[in-house]
Amino acid sequence: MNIVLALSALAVLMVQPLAAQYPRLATRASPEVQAAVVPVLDSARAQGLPVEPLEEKVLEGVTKSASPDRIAAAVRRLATDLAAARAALGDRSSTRELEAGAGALRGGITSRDLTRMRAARKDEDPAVALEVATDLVSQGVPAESAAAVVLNVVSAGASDGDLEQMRAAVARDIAGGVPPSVAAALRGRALSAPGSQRDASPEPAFSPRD
Amino acid sequence: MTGRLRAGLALCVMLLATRLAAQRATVDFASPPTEPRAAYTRMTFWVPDAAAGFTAGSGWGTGHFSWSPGGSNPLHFGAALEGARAPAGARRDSLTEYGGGLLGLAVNRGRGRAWVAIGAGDLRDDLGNRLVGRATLGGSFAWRHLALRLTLAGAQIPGGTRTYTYGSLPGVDTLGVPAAPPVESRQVVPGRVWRELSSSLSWSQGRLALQLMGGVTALPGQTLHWLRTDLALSIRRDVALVAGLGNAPLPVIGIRPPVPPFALGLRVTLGRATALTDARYLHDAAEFAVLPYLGDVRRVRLEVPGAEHVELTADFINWRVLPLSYLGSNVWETTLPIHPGNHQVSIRVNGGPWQAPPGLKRVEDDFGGEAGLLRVE
Repeated sequence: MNIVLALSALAVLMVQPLAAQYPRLATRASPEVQAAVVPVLDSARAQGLPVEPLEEKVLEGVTKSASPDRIAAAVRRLATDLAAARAALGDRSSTRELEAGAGALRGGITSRDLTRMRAARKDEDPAVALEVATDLVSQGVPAESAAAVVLNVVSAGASDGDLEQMRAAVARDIAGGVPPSVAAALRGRALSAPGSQRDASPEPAFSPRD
Repeated sequence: MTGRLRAGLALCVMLLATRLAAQRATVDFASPPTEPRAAYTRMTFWVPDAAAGFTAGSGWGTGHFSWSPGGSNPLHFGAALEGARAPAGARRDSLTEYGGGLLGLAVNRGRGRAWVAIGAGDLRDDLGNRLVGRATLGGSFAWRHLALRLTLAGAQIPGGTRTYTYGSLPGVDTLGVPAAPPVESRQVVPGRVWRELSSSLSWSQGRLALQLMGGVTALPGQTLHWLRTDLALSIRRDVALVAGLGNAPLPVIGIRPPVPPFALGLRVTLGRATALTDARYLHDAAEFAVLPYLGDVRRVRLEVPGAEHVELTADFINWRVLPLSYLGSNVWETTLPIHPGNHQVSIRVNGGPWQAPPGLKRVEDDFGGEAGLLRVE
């Protein structure tokens, strides 16, 4: 009996510091989930990776009633993606850049393309470019084409606003029946042509009602 | 008997059309408190970026079509056709037949909407056929469970000449004296301008919907004021108790029976829509729409047919579970801060599994379920 009490007290003492380290998890994740994910979070923190996206992944799993093992596996996978994104984008990347990079990698965009986009953006934040590329992939544009289009546009000096306009125009074109790769290529070409990025029409290249 | 047969046929057509149109059509069969003796049918079809439908009752009907360019474009274009025929025994100087149309343009901005429409129609009464010009201007504003609507409408109705004939028929009376010829009298009826300012305040939450309507109608030589309250209590998703109190003017364009001061009725909705909230307040509803509100605070609306309750979870709310408010006509809403970027969103309908919201690109999440990808600029 005394042994049981001692073990219980030890468990409480072990969980308390964890809760203090990750207060968001302490209030919403069960002790089992905390026990499964905290080693992964600690490891990521030791590597200098942002833990906020990982905590959010835990909370997503908790909300969706996933098992502790499944949550830990998802967090581990995200940590791996964040590490790969940091390797491609550089150590000084912000959390949003790393999240965007991890999302792009998950979408099929290569680490090499991430590095190119970072270089093309020079000292500016490449997060929007990465997010737009990921969004194009989700709309059906092949990852290789999406990366090439965004890279061309960014290299031509397009701003974040230009990228957003291009993304919206591609979405409209696709909704109008234009094949995704064709829509992305046309919109990208219009934006990356010398001196034309400010003149890119927000109207779709092909109207669904023509 | 003919009326019952016609109503039965109309019901069959409605049921058939509802089945054919699946989830994207709604049919109301209602005897609302504002028009208790004018049972009407209403059918609306939605396709991406466009809606079409009609409302028809005994002796009158309207049809409408609206189209929006899609995306974040705030413009909407609309057209409407309307027709009416006076019931037997109508007053001599009332309208006997009317048919016309309206073309309109609406602009949505945030919670507000403004519209303007012009049109014309052919009016037939005892003065003959005349061309009527119409115009309407209005705006609405929705905030949480409240919606305010203000409309200014006008019509130019040309005058005419009415001819009266007195006296007997030409011929010879019994004494052989020729009868006096009939005498014709002509009455010149001047044209008139009909103007109406009307407003309504609607509130709905949960099973209850309340609407307060009022207005002023100005005709040459007279001004009519009217005020009316309607209440609807949903018993089930497709059945509601309705009650009305107050008065409402007879519309000049269009012929409908007079409204009694108090009415109680039952409203039945076929298909998958609720009849509680007027769909005109849901102009910007979409399968899944993120609408600008204030800075990064945005309004999320989604259309989920047949839901009793809908919850949302997403990365931008730290994956907490947020119940959405029901607006009516299958539309659910919430207002919350969403920063620009790519986001993942899941919804849960009636406590079921987490799934991607309709209208968003579906991706597998890491937990055996699915989420929708949302891009916010």
